[in-house]
Amino acid sequence: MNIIYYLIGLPIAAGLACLIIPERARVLIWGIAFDVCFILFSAFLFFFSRPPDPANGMFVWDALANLTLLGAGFFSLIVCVYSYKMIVESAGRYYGYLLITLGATIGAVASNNLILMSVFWGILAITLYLMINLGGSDAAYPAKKTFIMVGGSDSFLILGIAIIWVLTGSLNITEIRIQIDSWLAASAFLCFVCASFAKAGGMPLHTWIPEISEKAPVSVMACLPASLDKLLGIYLLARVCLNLFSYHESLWFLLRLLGSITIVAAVFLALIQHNMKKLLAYHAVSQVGYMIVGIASGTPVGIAGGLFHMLNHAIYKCCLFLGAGNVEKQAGSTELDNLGGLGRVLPVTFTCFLFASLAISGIPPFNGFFSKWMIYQGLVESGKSTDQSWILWIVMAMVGSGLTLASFMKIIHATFLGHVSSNLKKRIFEPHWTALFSVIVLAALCLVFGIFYYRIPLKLMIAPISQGINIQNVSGMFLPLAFIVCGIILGIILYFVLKPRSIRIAPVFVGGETPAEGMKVSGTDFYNPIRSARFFKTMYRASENKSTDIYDVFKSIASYFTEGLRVIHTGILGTYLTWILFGLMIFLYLFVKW
Amino acid sequence: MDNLSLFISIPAAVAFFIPIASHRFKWFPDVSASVTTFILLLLSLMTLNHETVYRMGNWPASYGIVFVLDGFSCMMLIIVNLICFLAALFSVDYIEKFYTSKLRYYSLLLLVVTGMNGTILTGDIFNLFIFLEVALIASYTLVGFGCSSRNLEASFKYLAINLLASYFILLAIALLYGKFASLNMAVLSQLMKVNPVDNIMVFAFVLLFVGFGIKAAMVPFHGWVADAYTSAPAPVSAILAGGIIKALGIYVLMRFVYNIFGMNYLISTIFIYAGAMSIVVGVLMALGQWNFKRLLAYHSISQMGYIVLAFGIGTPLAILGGIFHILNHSLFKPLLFLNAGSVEYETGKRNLNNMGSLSKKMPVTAVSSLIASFSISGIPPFSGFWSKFLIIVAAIQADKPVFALWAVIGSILTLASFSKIQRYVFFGKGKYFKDEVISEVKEVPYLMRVSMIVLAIFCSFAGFLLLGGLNGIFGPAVNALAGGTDLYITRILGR
Repeated sequence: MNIIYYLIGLPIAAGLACLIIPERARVLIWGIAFDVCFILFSAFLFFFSRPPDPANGMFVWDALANLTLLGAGFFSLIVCVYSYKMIVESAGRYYGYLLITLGATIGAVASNNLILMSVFWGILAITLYLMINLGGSDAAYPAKKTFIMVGGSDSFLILGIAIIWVLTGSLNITEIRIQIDSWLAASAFLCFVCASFAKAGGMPLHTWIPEISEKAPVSVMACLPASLDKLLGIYLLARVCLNLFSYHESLWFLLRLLGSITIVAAVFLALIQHNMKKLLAYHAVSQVGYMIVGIASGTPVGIAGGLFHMLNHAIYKCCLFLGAGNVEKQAGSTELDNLGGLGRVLPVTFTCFLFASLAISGIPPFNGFFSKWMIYQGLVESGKSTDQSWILWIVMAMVGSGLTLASFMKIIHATFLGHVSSNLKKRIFEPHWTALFSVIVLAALCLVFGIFYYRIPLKLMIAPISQGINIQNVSGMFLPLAFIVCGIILGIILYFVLKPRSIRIAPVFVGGETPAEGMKVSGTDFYNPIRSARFFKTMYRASENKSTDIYDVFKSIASYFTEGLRVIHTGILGTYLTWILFGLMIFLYLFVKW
Repeated sequence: MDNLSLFISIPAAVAFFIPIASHRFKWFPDVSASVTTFILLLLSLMTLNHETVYRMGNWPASYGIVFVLDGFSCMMLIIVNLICFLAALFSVDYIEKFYTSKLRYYSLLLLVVTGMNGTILTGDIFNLFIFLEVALIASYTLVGFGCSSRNLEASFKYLAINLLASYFILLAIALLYGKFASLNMAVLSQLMKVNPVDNIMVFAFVLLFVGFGIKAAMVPFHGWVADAYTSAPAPVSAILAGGIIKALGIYVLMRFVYNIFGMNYLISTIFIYAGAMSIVVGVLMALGQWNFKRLLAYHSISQMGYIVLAFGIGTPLAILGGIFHILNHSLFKPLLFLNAGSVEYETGKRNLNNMGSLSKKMPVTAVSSLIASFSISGIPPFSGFWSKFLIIVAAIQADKPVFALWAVIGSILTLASFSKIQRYVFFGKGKYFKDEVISEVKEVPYLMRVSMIVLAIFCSFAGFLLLGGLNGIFGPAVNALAGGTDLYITRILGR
């Protein structure tokens, strides 16, 4: 039997075993999960240079699959290590679903047959739903919303597959290459895009991610929406744009537009959040925009940048969520108002969180900078062949990047710097070493992938995917780096030149009263002026009463029709008999007339 | 298995024997009903790939009554008897708890089985009417079995609407008999081919169409469904959804349309639009419901819409999808009704707002209902996905992509309303949920679990039937319909 069957079967079987083993044997369950994740990660590393033989056309194992699977194996392993002390309740279900997710991910990424892929895709939606439900009865509503959005978009995926089957007569990814020349083909493309957006969190199908962020266990957030789902969603988008369909100007324009809107709108929403996890969740949405824009730029550099960003994002966002998990576990809250001054008691978490924040904001030499740079380059490149709209995309992406930095200033200040809040527990210390270990590894990777951006990720992982691109192009980064270094030096000089000569610290004077605890500056209100600015006020209000949430929009449309139908379903026998007679008359008319 | 009359004589005999014997033996109703339905299930499995025509009393087809076993009726027999067997198992504890007279319950249940088997097998149009009434009269009583005012109201509504349908059917039979002087369906079909179409034939067809449309719960003839399903005991709702609505409604309708009158463009168009209407009306009504069983009842309308849509499209692939969806709907909908029954058995509640957090207390019920929900919402790889996929592909192939989109939208709304059930009953909490409701709750008795587990296994793996069963189960069933009138006539009259 082919090795791929084992790779898919092993985690799924182990996951089912974890579901059956009694919950008391927590360490045993963890051991199984860890071993399986470790074996799979090693296997992916091993297969990296020599991919296994695809079995009789059912599977395909190319460079894109290589990249996605290596990422999936790595993040499952990291989250598994992290969860050792963090997940105590319902451990069997947690690790069981985690392993099944991993198995289904392998299946979805490696399958060549579209129907087989949709089967694994469906299993992924189910495990996502069940994992969110681990958050207890409060998580039931977000889980439901997620399942409706992700599962519903899977229905569109199936519709897309059906259209492709009718159009080409084939279901094999390697055999399909569709020219978008009819509206049927275009709608198939849109169906696939819809599925990938819902999975990755592209606007307008992103609303489930912020919704679940507060209720679901934080390691679930780190594992699924932050890393595995991103990998999968962008994997699907890349497959669709690179393999299944050939370039079509206006549809790719639509993707770029949606991507840039995602970047900016989500980051504006992130700015005003009061909860650490929700803020991170909005950034998880915002960053997807970069990947979409990169892939949709249609240029080799941009596509490579998009895929590189997918990997980078998974690294730092996983790190950020796990860091937030440490804070939640040790300090007991993720509300920014309740936090403060944790940098002194959680130094390791703070450092790692800072690294990841700098990476997500695109500060060199962290990895986020390089992928964003490549995406910008890709956009410039695409401007050579198309209209001038690329300037707009670049501006939006850069604005998004700046605002990302701004909102991470807020989160870092409110959580780790400033005064210690009185709402916190008195004794706070670093979590178990397994939790720290995963965060440190991820933070270190942010740095390594940044400094050795060419040697490790680009050359080994990304270059094989987009064959024929001259990756040397990318290394024209000296100038921007020099500019940034100059900027930093200039800033330091300015700081020393303009620094107030002496700082006087005076006690707060409040009319002779002792200042109350609530008077500290927590940093949550940093960006309130934006909120009350004229244009943004309407935007924020619309997003807060959910009139921009696609889920709620469709829900209210459906309930409008439901109410209408309920009015005519009176439950009175006479009414129903009247309908029958009307039906009879209409059918009689139709048939006699015919 | 050549003696097809056993499918009718065995349950009928046991049905009448139960009241006599159960005065001596208290255990007799339970055991006899389960054993009888199990025997029937085995017999129906023996009919696989064994197409035959059975002539009662060896009269030739045009004079006597014939029983026809082709691929379609074989599949329906298996479905109906499987559901009845599992419902009978489930009833053992369920009826004990909520109702008093077991012997009447089981007699009526077996009469329903008799009627359904007879309707599926018979090749004689008047005989069909008789079996239809046998099944329906027994089911009127079963729907009102609780004898509360609500039950009786529902039963009366069910009775009135279905009697109207039966009158339509009887009138149509009279018209056809008056014109062609024959009651044999194959002979009728042959004569209709020869004679030019006139108004009597059209009128008879419309009457039959509406009559069976009512029994198949096609929009706008679906008024009876919600009340009847809601007030019947849970296993009876399962039989109504898994058996009666299909055996007496869809099955006979398709027999008439495909094998007797012949399909044409107008009928196809009407089916497509009626199916599309049913899909959306049913699911939208279901979204607004808070009563567990009523929500499921409206979904029956919606799922029947998929089946009608598929048969309307009418290509072999669509017919395969429709037939497969009949099978799937007979697996997941009875399972969901049994889940509702188990929840009611333990908590005594039917309103979603009064329940909550049952997933830990009732793991078997929770997992099986989860599987059924995935299956009905068309989440791959559960059974409902495969049939819906076939229907969608068929719709696109037949150049009707709008209806494919329509089916997808229906499927998403279905997903939404089943997520609602999962949220309120199993994972989250209802609005008026009180902790004491679930403090005493435990998993239901073993026999009830067995029924649910069996159905859940079928729901999970029925997709594999497509791989191996194409020749065994579905192939003959599709051929029986796609062969049209000629195949049917040849099969029965031999020429």
